[in-house]
Order: sequence, then C-alpha cells, then structure tokens
Amino acid sequence: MIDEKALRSLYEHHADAIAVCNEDGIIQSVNGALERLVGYDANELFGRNYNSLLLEREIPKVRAAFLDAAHGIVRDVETLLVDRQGRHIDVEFDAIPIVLDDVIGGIYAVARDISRLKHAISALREQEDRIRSLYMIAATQNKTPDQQIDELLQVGCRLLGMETGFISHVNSGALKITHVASQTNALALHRMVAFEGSFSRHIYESEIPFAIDSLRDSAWGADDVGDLMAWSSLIATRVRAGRTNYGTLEFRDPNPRRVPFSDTDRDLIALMSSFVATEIQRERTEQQLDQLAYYDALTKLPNRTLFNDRLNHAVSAAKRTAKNLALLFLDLDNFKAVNDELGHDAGDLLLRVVADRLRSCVRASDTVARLGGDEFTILLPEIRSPDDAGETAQKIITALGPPIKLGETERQVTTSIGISIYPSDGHSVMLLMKHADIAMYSAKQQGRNRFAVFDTNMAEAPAKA
Amino acid sequence: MTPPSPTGDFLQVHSAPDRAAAAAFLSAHLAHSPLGVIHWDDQFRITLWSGRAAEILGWTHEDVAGKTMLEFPLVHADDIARVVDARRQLFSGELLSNRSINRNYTKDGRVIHCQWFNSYVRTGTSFSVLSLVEDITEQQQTQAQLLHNEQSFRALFDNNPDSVCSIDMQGRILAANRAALALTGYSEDELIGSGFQRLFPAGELARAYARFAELLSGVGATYEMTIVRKNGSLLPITSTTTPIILDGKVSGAFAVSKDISERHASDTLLHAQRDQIRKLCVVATMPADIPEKHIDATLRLGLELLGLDVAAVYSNDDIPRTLKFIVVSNAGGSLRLPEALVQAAGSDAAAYDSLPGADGIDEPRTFIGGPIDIGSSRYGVVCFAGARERPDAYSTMDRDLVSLMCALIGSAIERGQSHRRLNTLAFTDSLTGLPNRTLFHDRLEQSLASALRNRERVALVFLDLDHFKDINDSLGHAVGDQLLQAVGERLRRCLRQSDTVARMGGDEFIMLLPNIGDEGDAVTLAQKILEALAEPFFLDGHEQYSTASIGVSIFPDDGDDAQTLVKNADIAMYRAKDRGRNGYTFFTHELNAQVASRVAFETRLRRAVQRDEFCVHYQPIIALPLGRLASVEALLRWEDPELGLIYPERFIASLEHTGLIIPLGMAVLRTASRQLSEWHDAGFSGLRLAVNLSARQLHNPNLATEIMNVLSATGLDPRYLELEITETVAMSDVNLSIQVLRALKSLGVSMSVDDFGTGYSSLAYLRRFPIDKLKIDRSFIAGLGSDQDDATIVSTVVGMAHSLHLGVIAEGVETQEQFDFLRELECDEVQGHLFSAALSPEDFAQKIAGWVCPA
Repeated sequence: MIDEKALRSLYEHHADAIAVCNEDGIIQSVNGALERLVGYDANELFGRNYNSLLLEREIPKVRAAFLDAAHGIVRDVETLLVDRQGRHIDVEFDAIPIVLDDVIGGIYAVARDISRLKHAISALREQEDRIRSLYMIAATQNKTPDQQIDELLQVGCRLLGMETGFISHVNSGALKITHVASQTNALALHRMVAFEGSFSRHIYESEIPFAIDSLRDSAWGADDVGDLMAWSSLIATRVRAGRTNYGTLEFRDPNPRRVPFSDTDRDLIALMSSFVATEIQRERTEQQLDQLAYYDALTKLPNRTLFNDRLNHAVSAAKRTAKNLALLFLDLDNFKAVNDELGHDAGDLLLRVVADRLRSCVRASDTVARLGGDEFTILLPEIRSPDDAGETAQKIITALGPPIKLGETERQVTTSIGISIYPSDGHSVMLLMKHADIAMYSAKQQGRNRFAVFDTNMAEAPAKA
Repeated sequence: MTPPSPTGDFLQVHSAPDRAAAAAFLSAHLAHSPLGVIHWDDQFRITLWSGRAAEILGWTHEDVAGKTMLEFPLVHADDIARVVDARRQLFSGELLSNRSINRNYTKDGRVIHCQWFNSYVRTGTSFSVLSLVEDITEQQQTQAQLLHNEQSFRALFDNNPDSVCSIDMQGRILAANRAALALTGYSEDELIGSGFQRLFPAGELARAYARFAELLSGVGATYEMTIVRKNGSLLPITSTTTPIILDGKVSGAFAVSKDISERHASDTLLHAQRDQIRKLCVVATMPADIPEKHIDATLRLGLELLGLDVAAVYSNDDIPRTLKFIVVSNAGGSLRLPEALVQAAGSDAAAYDSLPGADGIDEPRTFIGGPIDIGSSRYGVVCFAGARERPDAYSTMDRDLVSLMCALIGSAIERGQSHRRLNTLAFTDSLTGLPNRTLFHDRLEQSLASALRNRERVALVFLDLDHFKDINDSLGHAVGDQLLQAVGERLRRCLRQSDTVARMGGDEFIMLLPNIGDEGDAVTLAQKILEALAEPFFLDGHEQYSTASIGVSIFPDDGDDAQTLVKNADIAMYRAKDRGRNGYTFFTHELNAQVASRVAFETRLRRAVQRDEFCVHYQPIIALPLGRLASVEALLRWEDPELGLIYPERFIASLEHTGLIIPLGMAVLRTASRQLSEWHDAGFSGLRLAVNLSARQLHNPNLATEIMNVLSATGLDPRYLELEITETVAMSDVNLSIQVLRALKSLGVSMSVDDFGTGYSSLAYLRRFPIDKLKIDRSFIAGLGSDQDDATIVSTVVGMAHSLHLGVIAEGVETQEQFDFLRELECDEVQGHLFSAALSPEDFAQKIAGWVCPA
C-alpha cells in the first residue's frame, strides 16, 4: 500500500496542471504545474472560478465535465486554457471527483498540455498539404516547360510564404532572370535582385539549399550589404540535374521571417528545384531538336527545311501585298578542290567563313540558308525592284573576294549566283527554285564568279536530252 | 482617465438633484452588497463601516468610526505583519489595489477567514482607501478539509488519467492505478511486486537505471522513454518521476506516465514525408540521358514508399498493352497484373486497397496506378501492386505520389524519345538516312580502340562517285539527290551488319570494316560495290549509269589514327581516279602488289586443281614398343610444272580461303583410300591410313555422307581410316566439332586431334570429344633433349591421354634421343624423319617391301 502521506507529493509534483475545486468550480488550491502553465501564482488563483482560465466558448463543455464529476463520473474533454499573456493552450481536461468518506467533497481539475501533439499534427497536416500541392503541379502532364516553371514559382511563393520567386541562369558570372513569379508586383523584383552577383553565385555553388531568415541579423548583414538590399529573407538553391548546373531557384521577401525557415522548407525548395531542372532539360532538348531539325550543324544557317518554310511564307505574303521577292541560288565555283586537296576540316572551315560573309551581306529580315554541300540560297522577301537582288549578288561576289585563311594556307573562293524574282519568274516556290537553279547554271556557263538573273531564253538543263 | 463605466458616469455628479440620487444609490448598495464596505481616510482611520461589514465582523460603525485598524483587535496576530506591509504599499501609491486573504477577529472573539479587496482612491489632492470584505471561512474550511485530508489524494491516484506507479527503494512496483494497468497491459497481480525493469526493453534499461539512481538521490525529472507492454509491443511514453520524501528521507518514488505514441506516430510520419521528398529529389535529378535508369529508379522508389511488391509500366501501343518496364520485389516474384486492373488505371487513376485475389497467389491483393500522358496523348499506364492487402487505405498523399510518379515516368519517356530523335538528327545524313560524318568518326574511333586492344585490322573504304557533278549540273539537284539516295542504299546492302557506311558530304561515302581478316576482305567488298553500282539507276524516269572510285586504307598499316586513315583512304581514292576511275586502290603500294600476287597465286591454284597437279605422299607411323609399321599419313603435295614440288604450308591457307579445299580434300581421301586398298591386297593387310580434315571441310554438312561414299567406292574398311583435325579447329566451335566427330565416329572410323598443344583445350571438352588419339605437336618433340619444359609438357600429355584412355602419337621425331625419351614414356606411336620422310606411293611401296615383316 502507498503511504497516504506520500500521495500529497503526487499532487504537488504532478506534471499535469491540477486545481482542487469545489463542486461549483471555485479553485481551492493549485499545484506547481498549473502555476507554470497559466503564469498565475496560487494566491491569485485561489477563490477564482476555474472558468476564468478557459476560453469563453469552452466554458459550457468544461462545466458539463464538472457536473459529471460531481456525480462521480470521470470525463475527459479537449479544451483551451488562456494563460496570463492571453495565449491559448491546448489541453486535455479531466474532472476527477474527490471522494471523502463516501461523499464527493471536491473535484480535481486535471489539464494535460497537449500543445506538442497538436503542434505535431498540424505541422504534419501543413507539411502534407505543401508537399501535395507541389506534387500536383509536377504531376500536370500537358504543360509546356515554361508554363510548368511559372506554376512551380507561383506555388513556391505561396508554400514558402515569400513575395517573389525567380529562376536565374548563371553564365560566366552574369545573372539572367529567366522566369519570375511575384505575389505583389514585378517592380519589387527589380529592386530585390539588384546587387545580385555574390548571392546568386554563392547559391549556385552551394550543394544544399541556402536560407536567410533576416538579412540584417545574418552574417551577410554585417557588411552594410543588408542596407542596400530590398529584401530581408531569402531561401534558394541551385538548379541542377545529372551533372549539369543550370542556375538558381530563389524566393525572396522584403520582410524578415517570422518563423525561421524549417527543414521542410529546405526540402521543398530542393524538390521544386529538381522539378524545375527537369523542365529546363525538356526545354533544352526541344530547342536542340529545333536547332537540329531546322539549322545546318556546320554553319548554323537555316537548312533546306526551314528555308522552304520561309520561302513558302514569303511567297504567300508577297501574293497578298503584291510585292516582289528575290531568290538567290549560290554554288561555290571551286570548293571541291579545297576539300580534295586540303581535307574536309579545311573545307568545313571555309564553308563557315563563307556563311559568315554571306550573312554580313544581307539584312536581318533576309534569310541565308545552306542547302547542303557548297550550295547556299538567299531569300530577299522585300525588294523594291529586281535590281536590288542584283546589288545584293554583286555585294556577295565582292565580299567573297578576299582570300580565306585555312590553317597555314590561303584560298580564294568564288561563287556563281542565279536569281529568280517573284512574280516575274514564277508564282510558285517550285518554279522560283528551278529558275534560280537554271540561272545559276547559266552564270557558271558564262565563266563563273558572276551572277545571272533568270530569263526564259536560258537553256533549261542542256545535258538532259 | 476615468474608465467609461456607467457607475463612473453616475458618480460624476454636479447638480443637487443628481447628488441626492447618487447618495440614494450608494446607500442602497451599501445596505445590500454581499461584501462589507469600509472606507479609510488618509490617516487610515475608519470613516465608513457598512451594515454588511458589521454583520461579518460584529463591530458596528459606531464601535470603530475614527479608529485605525491597530486600535481595536481586527487582524489575527499571526497575519498582522503581512497586512501592515500590504497597507504600506497601498498608501505609498506603489499599488492601486490589492487582494489579501487573512484571518480576522470578530467582536465576540471568533477567528474568521476573510478576503479583502482594497483600492486606493484619490480625491483632489487627498486620498483614501476603500476596502471590500468577504467572509470565506466556509470555503477555507473546505480547502482545509480537502488538502489536509490525505484521503483526497487517493482519488488523484486511482482516477488519474495518466498511469501512476509507486516504486520502493528497491525499484519494486508497490502500487499501480487503472491507467497504469491499461498502459502496460499487465494485471495488478502481475505488476505489483515486480521490478520496474520488466517494463523496459533491453535497449532502454541503462537509461532506466540511471533515472532510478537520480530518483533515489531525491531528484525528479520528466523524460521520454519506450516501454515494452505485456504483449511485447513497444510504446513511447513520457514519464514524470517524483521522489517520495517522508520525514526528510527518500522512501520511494511516483512515476506518472503518458502514452505519446500518437505524437510519435505523427513525428514519424513527418520524417517519412521529408524522407520521401529527399528520395524524390535524388530520382528527379538523375541524368536524363538514360531514361531506362530513370524509370527503374522511379518505380523502385514507388515500391519502397508505398510498401508494395510489383511496379510496371505499360504502353498503349497495342491491346493488350505492351509491358515496357517491370520491377519486382522478393515477395512479388509470382504476381501477375490482370489486364482489367491495368486497363482501369490506364483510363483514370485507380486505387484498390484490397482485392479478392484469385485461388492461387499470383493475383495482387492491392493495386494503385494511373495513366501516363505525353504531351496531349496518352502513352500508357504506371501500375503498383502488392501481394498482401493493405492495412490502411491509400492516403491522398499516396494517390498524389502515384500521379507524380506517372508524370516523372512520362517525362523520362518523353526525354528518351527526344534524345533518340536528337541522335537521329545529329548523327544521320538527312538525305540518305545513313550515318553522318560525326557518327562515322565516333564509330571509327571506337573500332580503332577495340582493334588496338585485340590486335585486329580495320579497313577504311573511301568512295567518290565519278562525274557526279555533271549529273547534278545537267539533271538538276533533285535528280542528283535521288542518285545519292540510291547509291547509299546499294552500299548499305553490300555491307555486313557490323560494318558502317556513312555519307561524308557531297558525293563522298566512306565505309568502315572492323576486324577484317586480311586485305582480301576489302578487295572482295570493293569488287562487290563496283558490281552493285554498275547496275543502272532509274532516276526521274531515266536510266542512269554511275561509277565510283574507291580508295582503301588499313589500320594499323596505313596509320594509327582516324584522321590519317581517312586522309590516306582519300589519297588512295584519288589514285584510283588517276588510274581511270571505276576501280579501287590500296594506299600501300606493296599491298597493291601483295594483293595482286595473291590473286595471281589463287588463280594458279585454281588452275592446278583443274589440271590435277596435286598428288598424295605417305609417311609411315611406327607403333611402339615393337617398332612395327602401324599406319601411314596421307599428305598433300602440289607438283607445279615450273616450280616443282610445293609443300602444303604455302598453299593450304589459300585453298581454305578459296574453298578449293573441299573438293581437293575429298580427292585426297579417295586417292589414299584406293592406295591403301591396293596395299592391303598386296599383303600389308593391317596397315591403317591417317587423313587430315580442314576447318572448311568440318563445316560441310555432307561430310560424313561423302566420306562413306568414298570408302564404299574404294573398298576400304572404315576401321582402317583415321581422320585428323587440328586442336585449334576442334576448339573453335566445340559444339559443332562434337557433332561432326560423333557423325564420323558412327561410320566406324577413328578420330584423332592433330597439333595437340597448340590450342587451348579444356580437359572438360577433351573428355566430351569422341576421339581415340592425340597427336602431340612437332614443336614440343623438337624441344625434347634440349628444353626441360617441352619434356614436361610431353610427359604430361602422354600421362593425361593415357588416363583418358586415348592413344598418343608423336610427330616430327628426328633424333634417337627424342625417340628414346618417347619410348621411355610409353608413347604409343611415333612418326618422323628418323624413320622416314613422306614418300611417293612408288617409293613407299619399295621401302616397306624391304622393311616391314608382313603380319
């Protein structure tokens, strides 16, 4: 048996907050745990009704428990106490009848602090909500990479409670913002990313997410940088997939963090970053596909496919606006010899130089394309008169004049150019191409290194007979 | 400053009628308030003592008016110091109000408990104090009754919602309440008297003892621990211990414990979620270039996170869907995914916590899955399944995770498709669909690296169409393009699977032939290409002819790097152009000469076969220990009318290469069989015949039949025939060898392995070969007497052969010393110049006539 005297210490040292009350709820005595929990001392609590420790709306529930206890029934309810500072405390409340000589003489009001449990559960729910909303964005399967990244940024701002989020592309020290989302306005962003270099560089090089709760109170704030920045809190990480670093994913806010960034915040941004990386990879692949499908790998000029597309468009546009366009067909005169004598590497170099010179002879709205081998085409979509095309052709012949340095030797390369004009030399793309080709052949026949404008008297494919 | 209370407004009165009303209000209040009201002036003298105050304390207004509280017995002697101190604080203005509970005397001398509320009141420049007093004697008695009656604590023990145990100094449990029994799962009888140790798992005991030691020294604490319940389950608790101190000494302790498993569970879940994110990060950031790895990792992670057994990806290409990937846990080994489930998940995300399953165990008992979309089209399905029913339903988090995994896998598949398209675009020539220069260089580098390691030779064949420019210029680019496409297609058909043909640009093509046997292979290809291109092309409705010039360079002879080899093949191609086009040239002149001479030699060989310039010579084989002539080996000789007798070393390779060996080999067998029959008839009836079979012959599916035909035609009994194949040939395709040897064996002929020791026989194979004899290679015999290693090898081979019940022949025996050694080893047969060279049939007949005693 327990010594009855010993039981007193059970009350006094009980970890739960206990008040001894009469049946009306008037506090007769409290233990240390209750004093600590609500911040009042025993004297202050004496004679008060237990109700005064409760949140108003909780009173009926607790009163019911008291009533049950007065009838010998132990009840267990969850309720909220209010401490001296007015803070709410989650407790599990029990009213235990005190039986003295078979008569209920009072009630133990036992309150167990369950705020840690409540906190754990709400943290769990909150974390789950955050993770799920991120999953749902990433699980959307039919968005473009750009849309997907923008959504991730927006959700990121919301999940992390930050005003602005952006993706930066870090390249040789320069920072370029590629995607932005802002809870308020984009103007704030410009101020927030000013004086950027060192931070983004640091983030870019750090393997783990990087967070600042308050810039002023951080190590970074010491060197006056904090005063220059328009932001106070930041959480960011690099964007990396496989073995490639793409840039940074950053969230910033003008206010210091009320609750410091948690481990979950860091994990979430890491996951966001991996989703962003996947999208960037997708985007890059699409760009590469376009590049390969529509551009010549050697000279980076548009290829036959893209040229045909542009020519088609230009012809329809010229039809609509009743304007002229010119098609130039170029074939280098002595290229084969370069390849044969100096090798393919030298030939490739020469083609690249020729491509550069051709580009320099036309306007941005014109198209220079490589069809393959040593054949190039040029589309002049808007010419005032057919003479304009001749001028451009002459300009090209002149531009190709200076010898091209190929390693230790030099070569001069010339070209023969055939010109056809819409609409006088044909209304269709096919005819225009055929006639430019014939004109080019004619230029070759006339002794190369010259241009010829198509006319109907030109022999059409002499060897074909 | 005044609080905006109705009373405050009411008391701020100025006019006479108001004043009268206020006085009436106050006197009513004083008369009926449950609290006594007392007013003290700035000297702390009583100016007002209400009726209620008189009822509580017995003293009337008249008794006490004008007195201070010390001038009559109002405050209990033991409380007076405290009350005076509180009064001082109030009068000095430190506090504006206070509350105290103290004992008071009534006029008739009783002690009562009163609660006092005192307020500081400022009126103009003077101040006073207003006190309200309440008799709480009855309440105090209740409290005293509650707190001084130890019985009351019993209720706290018995009805405590937390587990309470009391422990004595030895750590024995003295008492436990209902909650403690519920927490631990033990009955009261089981728990009382047992040590606290039984409640802790082994891992927690050290900590539990440490806590107990602290308790005994009088220190209580709160901590989290794990206990083990009666049913063996573990339960996290938080426990507060309190030492029980009686008469100043520790006599035991209370432990009050709560079940915190709920909080732990949510902490665990919290960590599990974070763990999930981290693992997803790892998977999501894997290199994108190998989507299979990506998908595999995603599926594995899915199995781990969902606790399931089979993960699979199906594509919608066909019905039923095609299984693309599958990952299976140990427990999921035999699980099959029913089409209905896959179909359900393929149209919309589906989750089944528990499925009835089939009679066997191969149907999943739980399933979750969803569709994969790529762009706007539905690619297929991701499925996860388990062998056991799920204890809990799939959470929304689980479902979201599965959708995410569908997206991740879809993205990986999409990227895989993009990469394949990228590769196609980056590495093929768009006009012909052949590999482009970039891919060709990559393949070339690879081949060279491998050739260097394996000491192989590689041929580069460079091809340039003759007069292509003319076609382009005269017929237009479209026709030129068609020709290039057609040429590309013909070239592709000329090559083996392992070869590569690429378009270098313009009208130039290049071919890579890895691991060529010799230049001849390149010649064969070049001729094949020229023949293929000689056929007319039908372009744009016209018949066109095209020829090409071909240059060949060989690794490592013509260069050991890609650039040099390509350049030299190019140079060789120009030589072919110079020589009048439509032909091929090797970069190395000597090679041209060698190839030319070899072609010439092969031509002569063909002629020699036609003209029957071959003959058979015979070398005797002697049986030991008696030295009897046992058999003869038939050996092929070429009698060229100009060069005289030519030995097989010079022409066997060419015979094999040209395939002439097959008819010639059979001719040798026929000649020798007929010869042996003659000798048998002449009286050498026991004489046997050994004939060599070549690799080419071994591959002839009709070999056994043809040999049988020869034997019956020549009348030679098969038991006199012994066929030899070299060890290298036998081992090059073991299964074929065994098959052929068995077929031959079944004819009744005996078999032996020639040149034994030069190949790499495995003893295991040797035992499976149906052979009768091993012929030790002459190189080992040559070393006998001078090389100890050779002596060891020879004696080992003899010992091994005998233990396998095989006979042993030594060939190339030239000295008496070698012969003695072999005889000592009990070698079964010998052959060599010591006895006789190979002889023409005439010489042989002459020699044996005088040499051998007829049997």
